Amino acid sequence: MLPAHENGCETTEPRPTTPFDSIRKARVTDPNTRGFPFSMGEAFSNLRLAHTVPASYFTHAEEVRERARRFADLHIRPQALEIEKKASEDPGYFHWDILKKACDWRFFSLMIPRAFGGQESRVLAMSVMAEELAVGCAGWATTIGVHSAGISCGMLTLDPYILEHFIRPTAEKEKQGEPVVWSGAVTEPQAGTDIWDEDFLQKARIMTVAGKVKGGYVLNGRKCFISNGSIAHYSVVAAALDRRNPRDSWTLFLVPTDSRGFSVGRVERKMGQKASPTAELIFEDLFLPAELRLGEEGSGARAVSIYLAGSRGPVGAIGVGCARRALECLVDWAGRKRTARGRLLDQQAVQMTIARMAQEIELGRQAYVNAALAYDHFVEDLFHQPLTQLALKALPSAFIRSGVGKGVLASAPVKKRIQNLLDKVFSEDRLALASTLATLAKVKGSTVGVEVAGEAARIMGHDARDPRWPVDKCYRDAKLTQIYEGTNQANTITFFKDMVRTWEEG
Amino acid sequence: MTMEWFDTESTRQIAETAGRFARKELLVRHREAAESGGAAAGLEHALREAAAMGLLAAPLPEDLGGAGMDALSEAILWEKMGGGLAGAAALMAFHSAGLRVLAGLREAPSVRAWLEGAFLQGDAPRGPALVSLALPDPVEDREPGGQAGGPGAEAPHGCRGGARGFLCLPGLPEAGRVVFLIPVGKEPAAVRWMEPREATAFFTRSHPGSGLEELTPGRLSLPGGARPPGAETLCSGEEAAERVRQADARLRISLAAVQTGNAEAAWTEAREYASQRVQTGRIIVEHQEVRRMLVNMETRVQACRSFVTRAAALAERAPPGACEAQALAGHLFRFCGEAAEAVCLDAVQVLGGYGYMKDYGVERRLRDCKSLQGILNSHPVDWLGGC
Repeated sequence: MLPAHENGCETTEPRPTTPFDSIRKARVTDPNTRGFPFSMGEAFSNLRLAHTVPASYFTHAEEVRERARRFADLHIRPQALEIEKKASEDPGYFHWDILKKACDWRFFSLMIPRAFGGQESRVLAMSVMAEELAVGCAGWATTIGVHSAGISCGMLTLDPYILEHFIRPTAEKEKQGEPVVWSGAVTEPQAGTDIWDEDFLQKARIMTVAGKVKGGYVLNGRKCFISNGSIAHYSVVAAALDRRNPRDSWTLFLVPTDSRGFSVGRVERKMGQKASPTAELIFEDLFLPAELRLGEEGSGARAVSIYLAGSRGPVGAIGVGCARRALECLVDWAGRKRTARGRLLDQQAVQMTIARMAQEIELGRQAYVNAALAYDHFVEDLFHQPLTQLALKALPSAFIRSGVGKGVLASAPVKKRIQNLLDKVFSEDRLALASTLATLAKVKGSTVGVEVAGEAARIMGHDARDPRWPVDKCYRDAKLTQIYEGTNQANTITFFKDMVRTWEEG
Repeated sequence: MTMEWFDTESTRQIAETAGRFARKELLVRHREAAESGGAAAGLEHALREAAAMGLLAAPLPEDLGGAGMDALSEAILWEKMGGGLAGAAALMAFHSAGLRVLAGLREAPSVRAWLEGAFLQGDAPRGPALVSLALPDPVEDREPGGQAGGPGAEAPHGCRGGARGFLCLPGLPEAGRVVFLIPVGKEPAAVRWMEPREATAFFTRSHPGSGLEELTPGRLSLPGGARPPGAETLCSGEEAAERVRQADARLRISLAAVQTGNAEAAWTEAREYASQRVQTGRIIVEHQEVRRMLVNMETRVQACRSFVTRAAALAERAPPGACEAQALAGHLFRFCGEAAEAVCLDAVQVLGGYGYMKDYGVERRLRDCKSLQGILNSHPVDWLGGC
């Protein structure tokens, strides 16, 4: 390691890098959450939840598991390597046939409320789907998972305009066999890790700015590394209204990708997950009507935190899926191969390794199930609120689409009430718990993916690249789960901050 | 970079020459060629340059036109080469190991004639003559006649008693030789060699898409117990068994050195990025977590280098048949592979999204590292027979 000054670092006096008291700014009061992990409160809280949720919550997740497993076996596995090869040669290549088939299996409407034509699934079902699809190919788990996360982001605004004009058509088009794809765009070329954290956002070098104009906003800037970026019909884009004050002006917008001023820049050449295109998005004087703003102005940082508390668990599930496929390959391989001592599967060293891998996979799975259970409880709570019931079920389509309805729903008092409701349901207490468990699930699942696939590849040697046992692909695919949705390091910082908020003073 | 164990003028010179070659020919020119779709041509050019600089004849005695390098000097050479492009370095390391075997068999008329001719071809139109070494594969398919090398690739007699060659390149069938090292215990130990043109009948390419793209790593399946047509036996019996063991050990040391160089380059690239990338208002190397990762990388690189040095020194001094040197080479290969993987994984992580993209090159170091780990297919054997 070079001396600090040669590394271009400041050679300052030794000082604390992140004073502890500055982190513990918002304390948690919920006794279930307090004292994580010393109190075991979160464990009992989740155990109690498991008894209170309706049986349909679990049976639906099981049904989604079966559906995703069959879909992966029938449509993803047989083509995964061929698609990867084509995407290696041309990063812009996308295999639309699989997405069209996914319409028949209803993966596009998974998170959409029933009143708007969807299945009203929760994060548990989405995570289970992500694991099963990732066993087939992690790239498809990402494509469909990012779509579901984008839909959730739009849905959690409880904005009837968005639900009626964008989310309902997504479910309707699915019935017609036409995939309508969503994506989420947060990362920027100069702002990666810091853009994902509410506290770091203020110092981030933001280049995507929405300027207020009559009737809406004008969006300018660039986003990079956007999953589904080049194929999405709608993108949920985070932008600052004031570049000098990004945290307080951070706002989400729904951007139809056929808007004038929208273009796709480069499509990235990646190490893995090649089935899922990752692209740069460019916004040049893109006009967005005010109705396409998601939530209140300046609510974006909070909305992203809520979104991440739901989306990070499924990323862990993708890592677990990669690990599962690698283990499956290793078991098959070890059953067919032998050394001078006999069949590899009959050797204790191989058996112990397989057992350790299975243990890790189960731990990764428990982590994302736990995170999903906590998060889904809050979403259930939100959906049972009278205002939510009104927004989702009671308002007729005709009213929402009428000029009067549009005016009423876009009015400041209505938007304010929705925002207050979201703030109440996703309180500091609850968000701290959900976020802690979600970051844990993301870090654990992705680490399991890389470690299990890496170990399987080490054991299988040259055969890890044999098309019969695509362990090398699992390894490359799993590595991305340690990076996207905030690097594991960024997740761990968030974990620490959320955790200490639950600690007693002193 | 401190290289305190380069304590002689000659080792320093090797490090400088190889380092310059790795940066200029492998890292820059070859990467450019690969990006424009000409990876094979880029490699061929690099090999010509390496031959012209005498880097391809490193282990040969001086009277045969080589540099007469000892194991330590060779380790330095391969580490520097690995810092350029691990795939090309591994290819040359295989070649070098094959040459070492042939140098020991120089009394055989055909070997001597070939060796003398081979290095006159360094500037020949068809490129330098290369040797590919086929080492025994300890793992075999259960079913007789089972597939080897993927669907559509048939191994006529399974892999039982067979051997695998892992590195080949487009120009090889025209110019080189394949040296087979036949395993002890499966059939009488033997060192054979044959024209690559004949060997390709048994050669199946592995699935592309991982590291070492410009090469065509694959599997050579030999009919069990049978002598492949066109192959000439150079030696057999205990002499051959000892040559197999020595060649295996030296190759493992060379490849461990390549892994070390590859890992050091990944660490350097991560450090440079971390000194420039600004997040949360600070260059990221100021974050203690990033610094921890960089320090861990350095520790691993230094540990690998020390281990390579020790194994090389032992291999040089060990008498024929010394098990310790061979066992150490096995442990070294495994340790350096795993340590280099940890370094490369962290390097990709420090670069974040950019690390995962092909433009930055760090992901390539990770893929090359994984490919090299598996190139000798040794891990199950390391566990089962390593103690």
